[in-house]
Amino acid sequence: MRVFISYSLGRTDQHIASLISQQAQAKGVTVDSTRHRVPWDAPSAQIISQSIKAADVVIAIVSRDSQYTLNVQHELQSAVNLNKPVLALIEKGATSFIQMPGLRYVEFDRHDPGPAIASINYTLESQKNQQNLTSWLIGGGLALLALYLLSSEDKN
Amino acid sequence: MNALKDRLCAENIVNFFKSPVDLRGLVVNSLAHFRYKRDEEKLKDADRLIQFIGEYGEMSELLKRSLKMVGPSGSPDPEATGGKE
Repeated sequence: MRVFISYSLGRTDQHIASLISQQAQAKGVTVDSTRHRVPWDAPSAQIISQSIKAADVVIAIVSRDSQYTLNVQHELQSAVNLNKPVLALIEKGATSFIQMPGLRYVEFDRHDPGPAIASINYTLESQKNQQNLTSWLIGGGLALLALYLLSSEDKN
Repeated sequence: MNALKDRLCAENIVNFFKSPVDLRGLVVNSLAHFRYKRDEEKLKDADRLIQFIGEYGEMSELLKRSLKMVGPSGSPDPEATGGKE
């Protein structure tokens, strides 16, 4: 099983992506992601597109701390074009993220994660009879872990 | 002051700075490291995760299955709880 994690340059997003990536790898899941150290250009787009093509599921993290989400948007667009299972966590108030056609995302509020948990659950339920349910379950579990970490940010 | 510095150096991990920018960088790095360790521990705590989800509703069987796959050890086992899809 291979997961592609897309995240912005925001400190919070990198932090959460790193933690869930570590957790996924500990569970035997192969994780791929981009470091976003270069501007989006044709060669990097091609490499990333290949990584996304090889992935079974794509998850994305965009918190309101994100200032730069262009790469995430490109990656999500690639995933949508390739018809990959996508679970994108977008925080309410993340103004840098522009909604894109064909992408259903999970909007979350770190002070009230209930609706986002319900949304992840709904997404999984809607894929219950699909052949790629395992991919969705892995993506859903990682999205839930990201939400858990993001939601408890202000409680500690 | 020297005695205090010696004691702090002997009993703690210390960093030295030469400018406010240096100090800022060291504080940010130390806090980032602390935050990472704290969240890493949180991620391993299955009880806390279950409690978190429980605060916002009932955990469905599919969520249990997904956490069994990628969650911390001790995540609820859908088969043990008699769950079906």
